[in-house]
Amino acid sequence: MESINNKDEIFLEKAFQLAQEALDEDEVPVGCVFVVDGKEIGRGRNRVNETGDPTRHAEMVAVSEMWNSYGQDCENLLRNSTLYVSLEPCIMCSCAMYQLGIKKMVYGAENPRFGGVRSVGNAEKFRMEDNVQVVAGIWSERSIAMLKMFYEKQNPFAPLEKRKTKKPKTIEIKE
Amino acid sequence: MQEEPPQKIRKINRSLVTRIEVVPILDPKLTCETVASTSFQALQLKSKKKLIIGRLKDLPESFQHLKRVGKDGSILISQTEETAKEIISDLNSAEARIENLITVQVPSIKPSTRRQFEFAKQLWPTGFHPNHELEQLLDDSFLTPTFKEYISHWVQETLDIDNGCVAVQNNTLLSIGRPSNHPLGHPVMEMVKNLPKRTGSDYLGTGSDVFLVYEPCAMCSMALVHFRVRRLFYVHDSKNGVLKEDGWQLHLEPSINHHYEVFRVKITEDPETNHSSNSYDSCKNSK
Repeated sequence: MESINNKDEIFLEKAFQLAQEALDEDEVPVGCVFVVDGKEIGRGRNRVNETGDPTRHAEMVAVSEMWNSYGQDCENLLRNSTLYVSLEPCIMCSCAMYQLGIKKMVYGAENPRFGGVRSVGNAEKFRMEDNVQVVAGIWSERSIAMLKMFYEKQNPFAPLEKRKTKKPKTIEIKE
Repeated sequence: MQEEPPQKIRKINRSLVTRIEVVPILDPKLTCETVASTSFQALQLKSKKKLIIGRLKDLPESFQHLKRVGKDGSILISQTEETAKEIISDLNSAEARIENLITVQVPSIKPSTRRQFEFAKQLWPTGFHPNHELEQLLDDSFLTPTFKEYISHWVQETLDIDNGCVAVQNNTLLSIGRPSNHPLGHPVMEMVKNLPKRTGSDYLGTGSDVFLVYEPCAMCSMALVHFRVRRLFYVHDSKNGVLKEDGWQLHLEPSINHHYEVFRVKITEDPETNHSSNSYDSCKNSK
């Protein structure tokens, strides 16, 4: 497993806290932060159910938030940024990261169904330059445990207070 | 959209409908006219065929598509000569003799299309279950006049928005996107964002058709998976597109849990309305 330093741990911890926040709100538990020179510049967590927009994954939410607060400047910031995210970004989000040309990404568990960095898709498949440094598989167990909790919450046999009220169709992995 | 005088739409349609060609982008495994073959051991028998077959075990799972008896009357025994000989000697029958084992060529997979079936059965009698929808895509009969009219209508609507994206459900406009200057403001992303929020399980574009001028990049193609689109129609290939034939094709990726059909809509050039802007050849935002 690749190693990370103390600073990385702090930001990845933030990403996981955002994932927990998503879980508490019955969203797929994925959270992320973007960091430039040791400073957080943006954050996001999955908001698919809340917005009814299936593309509102953590990374996309964060980029839109940065677009709203920094305008055009966010593109320069993003080019120098490191993304900390609790799960391997899906194909949509990974491709977005390659297009934005971020510097580095650090993520939790691999995503064998949708992962767009190494698992299913990759820059070459997207016909893009592979110019992002990748640190993968950090705190995988924790990342998977959260996903499991999410699916257990959707389970109709779960205790009532833990059960989600929405129809089962919205529970497929979104990230 | 609806405000436009219907006469005008009909006029545009009529001109486009005669100029479009709609080609499905299918899995090469399906468009391939042949199937792979492998050698197999078969036993030539003069009599007591039924009796011998009754005493044989079923063929392994991966060869269940094969009929037991060939056109020449020989019976499939096993893939390797060694096991075939063992099986024959275990039968301990005067009719089944090791020297009557022959090597035959059989299709190694079950044919998926009628064309593959026609090829496969030349080799060895083979089972086949036609998928009618797929057969229609392969023989072009999917493109009925009504369907062609429908496609040309919405392609025209899409072309009218420069580099647009249009989502349609039950022949009704669902959402429109045009590229924005958001760093990820590609036409598809804008179309999804503009979709009015709906409730319950109905909030995605389930069963919808999406029309695009340019082949979508991996971000947009995957967004359409999340959107649960049913069919995608695009006019031009693009540099960063991931649906065309020469490279990884996202809509054919088996590990993804939702698959949509993809059609390329070719338009015969018309100097009056020239939409083949060569300056644009990527799926991108407005910058």
